[in-house]
Amino acid sequence: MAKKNNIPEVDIIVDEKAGVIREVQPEKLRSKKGHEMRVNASIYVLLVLMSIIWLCPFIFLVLQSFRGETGGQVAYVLPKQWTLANYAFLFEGARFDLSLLVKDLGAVILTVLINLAGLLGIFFCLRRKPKNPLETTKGNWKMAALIFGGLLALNFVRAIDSSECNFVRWFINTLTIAFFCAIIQTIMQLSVSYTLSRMRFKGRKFLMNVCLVLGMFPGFLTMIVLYYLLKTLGMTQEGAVAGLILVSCASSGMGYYISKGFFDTVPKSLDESARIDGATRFQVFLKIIMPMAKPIVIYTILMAFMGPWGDYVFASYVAFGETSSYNVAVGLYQWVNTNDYQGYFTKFCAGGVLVAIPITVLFMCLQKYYVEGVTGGAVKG
Amino acid sequence: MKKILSLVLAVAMMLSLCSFASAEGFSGEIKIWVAENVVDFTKAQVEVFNAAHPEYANMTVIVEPVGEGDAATKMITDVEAGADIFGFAQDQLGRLVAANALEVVFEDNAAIIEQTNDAGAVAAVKMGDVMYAYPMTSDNGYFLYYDKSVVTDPTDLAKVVADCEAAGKNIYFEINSGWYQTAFFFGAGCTLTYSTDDLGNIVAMDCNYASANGVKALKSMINLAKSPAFVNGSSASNATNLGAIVDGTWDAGAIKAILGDNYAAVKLPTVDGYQLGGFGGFKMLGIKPQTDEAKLAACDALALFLTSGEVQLARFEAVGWGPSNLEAQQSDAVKSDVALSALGAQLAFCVPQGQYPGEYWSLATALGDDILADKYDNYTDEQLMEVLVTFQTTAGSYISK
Amino acid sequence: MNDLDYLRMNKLQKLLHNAAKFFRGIPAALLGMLTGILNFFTGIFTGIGKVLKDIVMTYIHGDWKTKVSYTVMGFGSFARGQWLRGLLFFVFQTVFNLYLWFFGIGFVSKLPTLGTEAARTTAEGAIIYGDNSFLIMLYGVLTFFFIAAFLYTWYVNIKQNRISEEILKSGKPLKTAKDDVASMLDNQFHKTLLALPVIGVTVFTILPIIFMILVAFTNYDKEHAPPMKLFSWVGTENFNTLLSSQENPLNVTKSVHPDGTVALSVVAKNGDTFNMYVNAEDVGLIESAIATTYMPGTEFPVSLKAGSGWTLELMKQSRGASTLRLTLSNGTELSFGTDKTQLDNTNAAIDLFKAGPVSAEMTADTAAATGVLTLTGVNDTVITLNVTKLSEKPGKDIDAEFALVYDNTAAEGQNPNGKITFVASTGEEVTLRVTGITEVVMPSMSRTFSQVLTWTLIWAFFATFLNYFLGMLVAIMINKKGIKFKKVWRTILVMTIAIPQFISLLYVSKMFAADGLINGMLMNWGWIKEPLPFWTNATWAKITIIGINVWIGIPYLMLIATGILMNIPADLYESARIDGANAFQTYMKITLPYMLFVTGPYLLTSFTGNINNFNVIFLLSGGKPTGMGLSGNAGSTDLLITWLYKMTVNDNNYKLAAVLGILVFVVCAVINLVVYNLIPSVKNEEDFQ
Repeated sequence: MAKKNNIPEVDIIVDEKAGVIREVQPEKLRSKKGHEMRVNASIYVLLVLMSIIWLCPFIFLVLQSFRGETGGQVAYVLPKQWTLANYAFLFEGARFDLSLLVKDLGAVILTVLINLAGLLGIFFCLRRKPKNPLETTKGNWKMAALIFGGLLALNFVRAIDSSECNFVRWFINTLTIAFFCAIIQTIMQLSVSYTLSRMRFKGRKFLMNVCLVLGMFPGFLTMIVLYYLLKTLGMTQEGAVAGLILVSCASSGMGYYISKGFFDTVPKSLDESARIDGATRFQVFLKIIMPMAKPIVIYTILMAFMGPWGDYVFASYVAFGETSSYNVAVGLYQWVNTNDYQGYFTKFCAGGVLVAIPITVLFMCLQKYYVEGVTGGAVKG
Repeated sequence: MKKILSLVLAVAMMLSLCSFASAEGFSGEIKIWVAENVVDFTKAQVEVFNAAHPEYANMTVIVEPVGEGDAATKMITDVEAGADIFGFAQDQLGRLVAANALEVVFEDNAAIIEQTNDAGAVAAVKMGDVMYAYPMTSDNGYFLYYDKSVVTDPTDLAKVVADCEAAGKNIYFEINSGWYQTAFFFGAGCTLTYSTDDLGNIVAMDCNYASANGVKALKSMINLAKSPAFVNGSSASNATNLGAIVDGTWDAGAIKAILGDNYAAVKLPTVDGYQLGGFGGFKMLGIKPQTDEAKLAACDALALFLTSGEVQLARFEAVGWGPSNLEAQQSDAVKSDVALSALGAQLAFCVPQGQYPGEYWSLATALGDDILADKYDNYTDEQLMEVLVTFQTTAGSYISK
Repeated sequence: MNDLDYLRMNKLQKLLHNAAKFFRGIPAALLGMLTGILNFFTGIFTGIGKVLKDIVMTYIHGDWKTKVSYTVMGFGSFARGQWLRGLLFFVFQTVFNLYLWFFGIGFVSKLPTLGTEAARTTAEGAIIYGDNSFLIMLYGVLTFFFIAAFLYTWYVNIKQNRISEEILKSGKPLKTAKDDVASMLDNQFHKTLLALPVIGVTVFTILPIIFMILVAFTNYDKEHAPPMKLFSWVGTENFNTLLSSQENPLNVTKSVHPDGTVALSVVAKNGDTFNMYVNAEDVGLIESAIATTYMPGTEFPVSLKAGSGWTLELMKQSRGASTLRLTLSNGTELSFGTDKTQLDNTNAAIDLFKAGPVSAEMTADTAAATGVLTLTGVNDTVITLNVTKLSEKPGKDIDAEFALVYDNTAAEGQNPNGKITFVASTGEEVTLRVTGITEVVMPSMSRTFSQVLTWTLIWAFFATFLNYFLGMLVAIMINKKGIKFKKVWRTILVMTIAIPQFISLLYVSKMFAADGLINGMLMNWGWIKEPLPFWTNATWAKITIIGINVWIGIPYLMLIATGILMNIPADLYESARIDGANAFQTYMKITLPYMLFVTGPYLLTSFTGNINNFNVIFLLSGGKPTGMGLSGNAGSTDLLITWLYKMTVNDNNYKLAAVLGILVFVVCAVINLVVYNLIPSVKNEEDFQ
């Protein structure tokens, strides 16, 4: 057969059984398959190499955290003396003290409120009528178990006495900040992105442009002003934790970009039909949009939760020397960088591992939502 | 009638003044910032102070670990929120005075300090003729620690380097620090000093780095940096394969732990025919400006106590900080300390550190970074001289206009 | 050019054509930008005009309730039965008035001067704080915000009245309070949702940014730090420091060497120094030339008399002893001290200068640097002070302009020669022949700024595009048919995102140190003899940072690319394969254009994000290494934003940091605007929905 315009030479086989004409390119097929296998093999090699490079630093970090010899950074990988002393140091001085739950009036009220709320939640979950007739178990056991676990964890964390132990103190500080930030920031961001996506009102474009312009100013520019603002409110040094939460949450409305992208993809007809049925916008927001926005909600919560763990700059500025108000970033940075803390390098590694593990686990579990949020929201609009 | 009234008023005023002198005491809160490894020691000493002074028994003192460099920066950022008493090294004195973060020392206390501390320490806490802080240590200088099994002859830098190279160990020196750099420049015969007025403004500079001696010093540093055994740094706990390190007394404990029985300390070696010199530095306690006179009096009393002879000696025994108090320096314990004797021997070649503007330290770091980046490796003497001329001219531009 | 002609061109012509189109499009885009800005401003003015007209018309046409509302806010609504609205307006007005008259006015009135009372001490040493410039500016700006909010609410109040009147006239009932509350959850739901975020952003973002913009026009740094010291307005001086390198005026000094040669040193304002030798015959000319310029070190005045236009400043007070500075009208500064026994007199002297013109007379003993200062002020008050530590700084330089002409006829290897011409302010000219000119180029702020800016842009470019293309490549690799364990590869790479950056970056930066893991291993294996200068050599440091950033950035880009690649219709690939395209062609013609189209805006935000990428640079290299060519504490790997951070935290140089912040904003804004107008895919938001 003549070759015309790069149409490959083929042998046509008439397959009588199947009744179709199949094209077979025996020579090209074999060489193509070989070629493909070679390409795949090289890709595999590359991927393996990349995985090693990507994972190496973390493996080294974990190994170093078990190192028993003194000194800072060393030039070899495997420790000569294996020890758990670094991890033990991190928890030195931390005690478990149930009396903290009822220490004073404030603590008592808080304990009672939290436990009552938790129990009520569990109660309602268990009593909830099944949604569809096929569900045989009464009540939402998964949710109830989740609330119960959360309740236990909350009581446990509040009962830890970390006044003597720096690392645990910092960890709890960061946990508190992350927790409150996650909740408040999510509410703020979702409010803003929903409003800007769904509703048209005078000044909408203006608001969006203002946010765009504000985002172009570097964040550290205003550190000194925010520090004095917090100082007048009494939220520096001892009150640094509250101050950090306030500052992170107050301006979080500006980060609506990704969630807005998500809401833009939800068809407006849903809203319309609900409003025709007489629902107020508030009810539309709560009962219709929110349940289906689960991926973006989880994404926002995840991002807001992960933020405070790495915030060194502003946290150190606001804490202003008050060691008990540091978060893990500031504390660990001190350990590895100042000459005052000698021999703290392995302790930094141990601390780093302990901080990295829960975050990584959380991220891996919710990876699906992260990917959805990033690809969905980041690239559209 | 008027006369009696004025007499009564005068007596009343005198009585009120007396009551100040009798120290009605202070019962509020005082915050202290000191380095992390003396926090517990300071807390213990405060207890002793409270016991000895009943009028301050109700005072609460909070001691927090804030490193000396950090403390100065934080005080300048926000004086009101900073600590009432804080420890810092003397190179920060100029900045702190210019930022009004230091209260002048109470006259009576100043007289006591002049009599009981060594001359270098007293000069270090003064700006012009005014005393701004309480001297605490005279050991802020550096010398050579080395591994006895590696270094055979610690009197010549070239030999020390060769020994380290042969044994595969590292020699540590912080070339890009304006503090350590002076070892080479001052040792070669150069000077660099600034004079200030009472306000902390720089009014004049005396510098002759741009000279044959300066070029000699610069070449010595370049040669040191070229060695494969050289690593830039001065912190023992970040050191690997320690063969020798130029460091101070604060790291004595860490180096002892690393080298064990091979621990040794000696004054700095000679290089290219001249003895390495350097700075003799001091640490001190400062008091921030107060709005409450009683609190100020309490801070003065507490600072004087914490820098008194007995406490300085006790601090030396606890953490190894060399005292500035003359009596404490004569005690047997101080005299027998290896690190402190090495420091003492080195101080004979050192210049007490004066005041330097903040920009000088950055300039010196810049010069050091260029050396470390091998920028000057193939420079001729003329080119090195040009570098030093630029350095000297820039250093001269820091004079307050 | 229509499509057919376009298709007929070969590749090179197409490229040229597209490039030409792009460049031709730039002026149009810029023009579009300018017209946009102009429209924006005209829009504001017409808007204001409309509002004013509205206010006047409503007053003229409104009934008595409306007219009363102009002074008592909410009265109109209240009188018409909408008690909730009326109450809210009225409460707002009362709160605002209370705030303004008791608190705000004080600060706003001090705004032009930013405070005049510095802190003082008592004789025992305690401090009495005076004005606090920082708080003045902060609360002053806050008050302006309040006033703006009040004016807006007042205007809303007026409009409400007009609308209510119209509704009543047309016979319809007004909304009751219950309706209002209900509508907060319905029609006005956007207001409910946006209330808290907007307040948060205003107080914690907008207010600080405006404050810092204002700081850029003051001299707020560590020598002028409240509460002990005051700072004041200096106009655009800070911008000059950072952006321009001024050559004039100059300072000339002459020195005579032991061997008789005369050397001349000319120092420009930015510190650049020209050293040269003067020909012996011209020595006489030098004197006349330099006489018109300034020579340091004049005679100490024994006595000086009268003169107004002098200022007395309190430089410092501690435990009652004061240091003061008297500045004469020609700029000469006399600094001196008084002791604590004269505390009252000293404070009175300072107040005297505030009260009106003062004449001063000083008699001094130069050797002992002591003297007596007698001040006569308004109402003939006379104050005498015994001063000590008297020191003088002579008055300012007289500007001298000159031109430096190089004569290039010097032989090879010889120092260049030249001529200097001095032009005095009287107009006379003096020309000197000089030899051996050497120039010392000082690191200046403006040169440092341009270097840092260049590196910032280079870094942002590489960080964005290198990660982008490599990430896409990795995504394609993993996505390829025939590769197994796709999820495993992705998960391994994604770990870098999960682990907090400050841990991974801190550790990795230690790994590359001179005595760190990498160098140690390489030396142990004998591959290198000396440690590699990852962080000490500027170029190495830059490359290392870009490389490590690839390590951080690829997983993120890979995720995005994977998500988008899944959306590319598979039949596109099929048809390409049948047509015989190889992998590269498929990539260039299908994958790349699609990805670029979809992620266009993302690339832009990523680019500006990388301009402000603080973490990576700070944790890895801290901005170092520094060098003699950079001033202001900047390092070779510093971005504008890390330099800003160092200035704020280490140097407390807030004024320059504020200027830097504004410049970062300008850079980002320009890039955004230009690119935004050039990319088509960004514009169609509504259509997309």
